[in-house]
Amino acid sequence: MNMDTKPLQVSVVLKITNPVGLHARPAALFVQTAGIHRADIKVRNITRDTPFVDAKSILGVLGIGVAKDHEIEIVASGGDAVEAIAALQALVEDNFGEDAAEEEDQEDEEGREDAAQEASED
Amino acid sequence: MIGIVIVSHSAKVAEGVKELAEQMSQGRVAIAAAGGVDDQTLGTNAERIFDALQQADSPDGVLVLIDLGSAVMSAQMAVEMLTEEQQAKVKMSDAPLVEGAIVAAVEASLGRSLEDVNKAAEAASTMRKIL
Repeated sequence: MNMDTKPLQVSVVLKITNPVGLHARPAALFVQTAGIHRADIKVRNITRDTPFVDAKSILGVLGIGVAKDHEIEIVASGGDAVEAIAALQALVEDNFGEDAAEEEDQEDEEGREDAAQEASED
Repeated sequence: MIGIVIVSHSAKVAEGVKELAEQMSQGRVAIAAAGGVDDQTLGTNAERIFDALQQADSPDGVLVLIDLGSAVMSAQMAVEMLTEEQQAKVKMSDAPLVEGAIVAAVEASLGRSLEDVNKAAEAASTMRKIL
């Protein structure tokens, strides 16, 4: 095997863990991240067993209905396929930059305190 | 990058759709709202649409999204108030307003052409929501 040959195709399977799934803003971020790469990028929803759609098309990505805890497969080929997959993986693993996680944790704690107070009042 | 104009019979609808579309495009696309006869009165107003067309003006073109067919005449009047050079770059879309604006905002943020953005926005009419 010629080790100089660049990989033609790269793929990754990822679990979507942000609350809304691949909808609205996260879907837009996904498509925008795919869109800045030259590679041909396709994505399918494994959980729903959908066909592959163009990862650079918002209609395609919204159309495969990716909800929380669904698994998706991303396949990139040609050009900067490796970088494209790395960027999309980072986006998914970063929960699409929804840093609200910390705030939610705080709210959850407050919520639990409220719940505890209500429970004691009862 | 193309600009987008949202035309609705309601100022609130136009503003709300603009807000949603801007979040989808991360604020990278010029989106202008033209709703109502004025802020309180339902209907459409060619002058408001003309102002929005100027705000969203871009060398790459402007896509006009409309809520109901009866707004088309007002939009056409507004387009006729533009210079001939501007008129040549304005496209009226047959896309559904909310879904079309979301799709158009994302596609426009990727630097796609006026034709391509309009095609994607119009295809939003066949997008399934209940899977």
